[in-house]
Amino acid sequence: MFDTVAIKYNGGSVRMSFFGFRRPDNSIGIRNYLGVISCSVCANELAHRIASNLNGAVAFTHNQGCCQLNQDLLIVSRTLVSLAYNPNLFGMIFVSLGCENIDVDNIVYLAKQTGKPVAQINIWSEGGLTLSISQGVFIGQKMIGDASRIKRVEASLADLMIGLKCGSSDSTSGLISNPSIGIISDKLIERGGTVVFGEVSEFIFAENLISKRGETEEICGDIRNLIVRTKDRINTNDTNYSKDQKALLNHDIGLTTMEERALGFISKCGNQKIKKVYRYGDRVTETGLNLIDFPGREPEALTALAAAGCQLILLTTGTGDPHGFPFVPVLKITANEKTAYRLEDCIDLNISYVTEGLYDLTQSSNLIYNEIISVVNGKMTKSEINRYHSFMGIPTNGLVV
Amino acid sequence: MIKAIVMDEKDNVATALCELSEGSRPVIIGFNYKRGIVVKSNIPFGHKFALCKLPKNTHIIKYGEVIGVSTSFIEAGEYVHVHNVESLRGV
Repeated sequence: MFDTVAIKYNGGSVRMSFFGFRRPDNSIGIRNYLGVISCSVCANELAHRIASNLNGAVAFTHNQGCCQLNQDLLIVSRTLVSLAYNPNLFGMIFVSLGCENIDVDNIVYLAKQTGKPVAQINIWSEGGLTLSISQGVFIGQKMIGDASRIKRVEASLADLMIGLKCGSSDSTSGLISNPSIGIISDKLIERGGTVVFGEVSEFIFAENLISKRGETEEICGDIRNLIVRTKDRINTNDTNYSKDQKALLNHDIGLTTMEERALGFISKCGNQKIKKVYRYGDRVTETGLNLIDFPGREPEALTALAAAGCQLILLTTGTGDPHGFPFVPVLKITANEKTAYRLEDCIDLNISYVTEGLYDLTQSSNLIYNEIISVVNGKMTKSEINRYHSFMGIPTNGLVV
Repeated sequence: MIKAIVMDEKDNVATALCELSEGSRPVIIGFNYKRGIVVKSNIPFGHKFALCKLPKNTHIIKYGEVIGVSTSFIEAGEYVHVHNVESLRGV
């Protein structure tokens, strides 16, 4: 692939490298943001107010970090630390209120191990909201000045980690968008890159097919366990879930069985074997195809992919999904022509030419590949421009006390 | 004009990429181009038809994997859906 059509589009050269920002751990960012990261729900407002005063800063907020029990606090803190490692961040300001029961000092300590500039603002210590905002803006301005002096350097496809997600799917997703992404996934991995997926609830009805795709028997076991755990979690909260999902299977769009729906979903992962299964909030450590335990809902799913270390997320959509992430571009692709025009300000790439009979899947994947190369080199995606990313999330087991 | 797609070389069904009318011979992309299949009924966008004769209790293969099993004899070009396929899984 990447060969025939790519040559036509790029005037004779197929670009196999890109230019990005090298971080202290040698990872390569495709963006150069200052992240204002809220440690708890009580400081979300502060994060947004600091970031909105700074050109080059983005806020990451969520509804966790306070009045929660230990197991949930561990998920939140490991996610926040992993986000600090995301290569798209030049540095971070961690903001908190002062009494939250998440261990903010420990998060900041671990985030400093990235080697990146890290600052901390605490509303109680600063003496209120106004002083916290001004202190955050003051520190942030200096950090962004430093960030702006970094030049992009040439990097290879092996430096890329791409996250996969689908949202608001329809029959074009499983037939065109997802298989096109699958071709890209395979080729990126062949060139040493890394691909990450999750959304476990989407394939729990095809566990026999998915769990055999582990690289080793042990990984196959990990995938089976993940699916069993997910089913248990679901059934504990909703005993009718399986029956309801089966009833919701949309026969009208041509889906006959749950297996078929799950395969359409998983087709975006290509044919590579799964290298490792991770918990929510873990950083991905293996090259190749990786599976993370994250749910389908966008704010939580996109956060998991950013925490994994993805510099870019590919989101396939049928009827239109507007979500972005504060510091990871989310490239939204549809093969539904109506959606591409109706939601023009949300959709980055229209590959509906396939349904019109103008292209096959290799050509649509070439189109996507060319767009990926543009975006990793700096072309802004729609959700970066329209900032559809203010409210993100981290999933927890539940109990808030 | 492309009219239908086969997702994997092992597949025994194709999926319509537009409304196919009875008696038409869609151009197939993906795999199995070579065979001209005449569809035996109207097939809506996103729905499937058989690429070959499928006796009762045959595995229906799409994406190279088993998506269900035929519950009756299916002729090549015939509409494949819930009326003649069921899941191999319980709820």
